[in-house]
Amino acid sequence: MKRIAGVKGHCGWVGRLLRVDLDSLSWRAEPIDPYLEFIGGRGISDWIVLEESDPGAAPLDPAAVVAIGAGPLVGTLAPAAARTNVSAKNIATGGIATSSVGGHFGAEMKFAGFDQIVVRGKAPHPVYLAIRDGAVELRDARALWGRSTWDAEDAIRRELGDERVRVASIGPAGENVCAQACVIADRGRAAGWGAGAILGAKNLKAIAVRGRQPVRLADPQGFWAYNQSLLARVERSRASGVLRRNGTHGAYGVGGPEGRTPQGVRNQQDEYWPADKGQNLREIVYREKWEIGRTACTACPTSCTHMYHLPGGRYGPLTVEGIHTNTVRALGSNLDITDAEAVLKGQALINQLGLNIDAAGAAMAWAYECYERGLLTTADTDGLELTWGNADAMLELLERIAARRGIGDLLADGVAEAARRLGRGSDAFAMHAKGQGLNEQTVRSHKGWALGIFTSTRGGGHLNGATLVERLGMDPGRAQTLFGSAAVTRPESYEGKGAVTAWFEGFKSIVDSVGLCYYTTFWIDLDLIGLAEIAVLMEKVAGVEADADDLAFVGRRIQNVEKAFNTLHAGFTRQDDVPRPRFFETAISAGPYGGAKLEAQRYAGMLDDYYAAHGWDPVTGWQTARCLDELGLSAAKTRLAAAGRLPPDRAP
Amino acid sequence: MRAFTETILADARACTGCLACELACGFRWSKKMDPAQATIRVRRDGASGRVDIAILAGCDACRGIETPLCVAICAPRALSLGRRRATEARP
Repeated sequence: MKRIAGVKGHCGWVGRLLRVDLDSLSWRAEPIDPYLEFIGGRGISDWIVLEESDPGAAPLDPAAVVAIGAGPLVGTLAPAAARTNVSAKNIATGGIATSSVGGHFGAEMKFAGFDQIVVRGKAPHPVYLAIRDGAVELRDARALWGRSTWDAEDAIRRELGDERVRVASIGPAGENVCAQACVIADRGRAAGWGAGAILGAKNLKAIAVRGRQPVRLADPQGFWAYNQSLLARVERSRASGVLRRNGTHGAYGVGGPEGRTPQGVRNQQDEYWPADKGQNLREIVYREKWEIGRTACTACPTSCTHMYHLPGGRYGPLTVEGIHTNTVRALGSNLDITDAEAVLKGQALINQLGLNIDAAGAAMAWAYECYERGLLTTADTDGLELTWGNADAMLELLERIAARRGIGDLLADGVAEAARRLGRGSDAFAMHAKGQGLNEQTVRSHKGWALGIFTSTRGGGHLNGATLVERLGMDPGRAQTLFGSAAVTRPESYEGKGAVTAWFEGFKSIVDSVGLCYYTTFWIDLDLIGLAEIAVLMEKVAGVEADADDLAFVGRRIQNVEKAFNTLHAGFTRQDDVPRPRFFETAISAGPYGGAKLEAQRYAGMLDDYYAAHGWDPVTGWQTARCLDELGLSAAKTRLAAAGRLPPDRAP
Repeated sequence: MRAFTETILADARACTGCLACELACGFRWSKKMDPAQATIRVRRDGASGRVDIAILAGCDACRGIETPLCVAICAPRALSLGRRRATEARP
């Protein structure tokens, strides 16, 4: 069995894990070393959450644990090594919640002296955690409670008297334990999947970090030279160029570069939005009218995030960063809204209130469809008319969700729970994966993309196994070599997609664990950073002797830690990896992918291939004893067996 | 006789606030990722997006290195190496 080994005295890692107990308002530091087989960031966070969570305890139980980690490359000049991971038990699904957030928080957390922060318990009153140069304080946050993430960040910086303090905070949505609540870092970078509500339930308003401790390098000159070559590759990359100029919105968003990319429309009833609507929200509209500059996460050469300023009008003056492809879909096409200014205002509200745009968007789109079908009326909405295209209603709903006011209280527990509470057949319109609200594109047209979304351990999201190989123009011969099938490059094909999805799941686990951004990797451009390049970075930064195969092995382990958590805590089975019926029943109405929808039998075949690639049982979808043994996860195997969730041996 | 001093020129409007220059500068001095040692400071106001770049005392524009490290690392080309007329040089 291959393991990560050969750590040279804390290069890359700063060497410490911080444990905070909010029940007793106490903390202690531990060496990070016992956890390094899971590398850092998401890998270590996931392992801690699996090992230290009681499957019988609810996500909002004070004993629940939340782990926040920055991997060994974070705080270095490796391209966009800026990501901080947050893992916890997911409120919406009952399984794992993992989310990666950019900005500058992660690097500063390491300069402040910690690779990982693990929080449990519930403070007797609102507090925030301040970590400065290794010194830890739990400070009174009663005056911050109820305030937006933007206000909280400014106030904490003022209170600590240091403009370089980095803050990750929750807004009213987190305080009111909305299932969609995020942790927001640097005003506009979100760690979603309910993480904000977990902190809210713990009375933890924010974490503030600042430090002057360096990150040591195992091979300083070797790192500099190699990293310069990687940066040159990023600079030359076509994908990076598009992201730099046009952001994710211009690359994949509504209208897209050629207006070809299908988008969720009217609660994902369709994925075709006619040009007369889409043109109102195209990236060029925002760029020409309101763009004032670009902004980047730590050490990111791409800077995909653009800044906008509305000088006046209904919402100005307002300066906001974003918007991304998900914004324009969640607040635009999926609600049939064509008001570009309202979408910008919505983006600002999402960040200030601390909401997850995908999950909140899914809940709102469900409500709009219920209203259209007469399942919700103005009597349920306090007079709010949830008609498609009503932007004022969208902005009002965001406020109500975060405050749990009126109809907002129904939506604040997430779309799946809202449908359960409302009943009346409304579950058919609840677009979610494993209970997590869904805000997607190209689900019907790009089969591997769909598989990656619906098998994602955290419940939806296209940033795990969902592959872009279907749209990168990859040479079929290269695809055959890399993924064992030339068909993986064709969106409409179901062939080979199971294996490629499993591969990208492991790859993303590594990317999140070392702390890179997915946007400077092989995922978005086949000439960018892959496992081989990460292995070199790990050697030069951290002194780790591991090759691409070793990293792939650890990536599989991390994926299997999350899978075991889901089986133990949520009891997910094969059925939970299957998309909502709408995606099989209703085809895209028009456009380049008109007529496309998922076919149940062929999706099932793709799912079989996916389980086979992982070594999981095709009947239950569970991990097999053999798979867990191969990966050295015998403790998880024992717990799964005790829970009766280890499948019987089946003849191959 | 006049002398010219090499100096780092900064265009704050082009800066994205990625702080790579601080990391590179700290690396120059300590061979670590050590922005506390940097002689360049970038301050970006999140609310307005406004950036200020300060070259601190101690910056020697990486004397002896062909391209200063902060210039070499700056993806948006906000930094460059310039020549500034120094005060009257003393023989």
